[in-house]
Amino acid sequence: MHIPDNYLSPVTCGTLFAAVTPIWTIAVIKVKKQIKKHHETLPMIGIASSLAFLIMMFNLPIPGGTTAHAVGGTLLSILIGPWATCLAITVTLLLQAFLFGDGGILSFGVNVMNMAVIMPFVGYWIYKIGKKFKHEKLGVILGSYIGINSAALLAGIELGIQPLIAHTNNGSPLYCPYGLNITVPAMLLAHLLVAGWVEVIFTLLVFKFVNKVSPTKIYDNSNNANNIHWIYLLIGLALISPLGLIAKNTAFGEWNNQELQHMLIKQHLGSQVPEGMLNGFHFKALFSDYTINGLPISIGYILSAITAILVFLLLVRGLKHETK
Amino acid sequence: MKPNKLNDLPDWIKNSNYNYKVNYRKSLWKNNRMHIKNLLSSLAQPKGVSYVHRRGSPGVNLIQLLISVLLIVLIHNITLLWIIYILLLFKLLFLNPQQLRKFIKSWIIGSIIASLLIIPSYWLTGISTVLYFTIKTSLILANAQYYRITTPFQELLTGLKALHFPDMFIMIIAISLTYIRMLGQNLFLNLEALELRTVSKNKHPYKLIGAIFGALYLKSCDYAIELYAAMEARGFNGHYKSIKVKNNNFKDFVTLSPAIIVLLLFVLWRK
Repeated sequence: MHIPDNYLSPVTCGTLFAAVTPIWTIAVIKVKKQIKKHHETLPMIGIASSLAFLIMMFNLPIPGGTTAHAVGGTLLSILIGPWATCLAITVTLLLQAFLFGDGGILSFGVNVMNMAVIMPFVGYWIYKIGKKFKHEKLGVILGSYIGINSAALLAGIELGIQPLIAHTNNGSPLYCPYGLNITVPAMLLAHLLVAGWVEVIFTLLVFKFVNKVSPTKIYDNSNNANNIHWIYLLIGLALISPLGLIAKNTAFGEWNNQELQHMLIKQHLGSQVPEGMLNGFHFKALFSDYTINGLPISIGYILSAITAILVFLLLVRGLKHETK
Repeated sequence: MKPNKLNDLPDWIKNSNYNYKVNYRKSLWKNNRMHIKNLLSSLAQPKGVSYVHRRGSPGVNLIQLLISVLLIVLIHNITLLWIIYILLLFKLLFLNPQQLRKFIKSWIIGSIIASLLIIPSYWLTGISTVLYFTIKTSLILANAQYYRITTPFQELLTGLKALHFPDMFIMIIAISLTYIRMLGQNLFLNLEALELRTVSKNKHPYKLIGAIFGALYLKSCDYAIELYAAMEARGFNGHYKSIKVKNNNFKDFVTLSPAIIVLLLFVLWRK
């Protein structure tokens, strides 16, 4: 998954480097906070970086006579936390690029985004959801599998957009010559079928061992402060839900039959609404378009948002296991 | 010391014939052990590093590498690429023969792998894309390879410090470089022990991966606690000050000038 130099345009490399810079800043701030509680975190990041390096060197045989290796992004984020993992894998990628020729120097920011940001954070969040519902192992399996595949998908997109954004006047690509129709399937197939499972096996086996031998050495971030932040965020979002009413026109694709006919005429695409839409199934909702009779439309929006939040919270609570 | 009867080892210990049978899954451990062994030998500095005397300060060398790679990626003019090739060949003259052979070997292998990935695009975009891509990629690989074989690890850290890289990152890199060797040695010994002790058929060899890397992680935690205690004992206050950054001088300017000339040509020469 290490993208070498010359496959991506300098614009792509620069944009993604700029995108990961604030993430590094937040990671440093978060890790400094973590260091106050656990002083050994700082050397641990350096050592975890060496561990990530060795994990990437360890090859497992796969069908077809070749080998594949794990990245360890999700594993490390479960063991030392996602922010510390972001820094650790960043350092691993820097050493690989400068000293071992694995991955590019200009494309360093891109590789960091894929392997040190997307993979550990996606993997860790899925693991946390699994842990919340008392299905830790399922969380580890899904986290590591989806984590590496998300990173592979992003790498496929980064490579595939090159012929569209960087080409000569006659259309010849200047960097990666393969389009999205080739890069996305190529990256995803290899990871969905092989590398993803290698990552799952590796992550699950090491997690099971550490969890059995020394469960206290697994990163624990179970504080209630985050829940309070989530509640504030949800209330805030519910309150600003009528913001969309400021816009005059109907959202794209949400037109009724009359509006659609008007749009078609305006765009010179015909004057008839498709037959299937005229005679299709039309559901009459209780509070259609979030409106409640006798109440201003904005109040209807806010009440609908609060109802939806409560329904989802009840659903999550219902699915939770009993705590002993 | 002259050999005498006391120093002589018995014949059975000198005999290097191993009689144990090779297990069917041995290749998994053996291959990985070989990888780790190669890594450990490549980390054994300064043996693998050639110091070129006419080089600038670490910070300038790093800037030169970054400018060169950026220029190669940006340039789509064959003459300018040729000039960069000539500059590279000129720099290679200062390598000793052993280093030069090592450089050429890894450069050729890297270039072949890069071109193999791009050859199928011939049927999509034609020969010019394939040629440009191969030339530029091999040039980038050559510049990166030259930096690697002429730069000790410590110099990379000094270069990063000179470019105002955050202290925390530099410290993590320094720790990481040290512990790759230590953890690598640990992993190598574990794999060797495992290989020697595996005498029967193991139905689930992959299960051992969990134990090996799990133990390595727990070892890492112990190392981290010990290392922090050692850092505190030496008066660690969160700043990385063991690196002295040299001021740039005339030598640095001379080192950087070819890259700057090509940069100026790139900016001013528009066909």
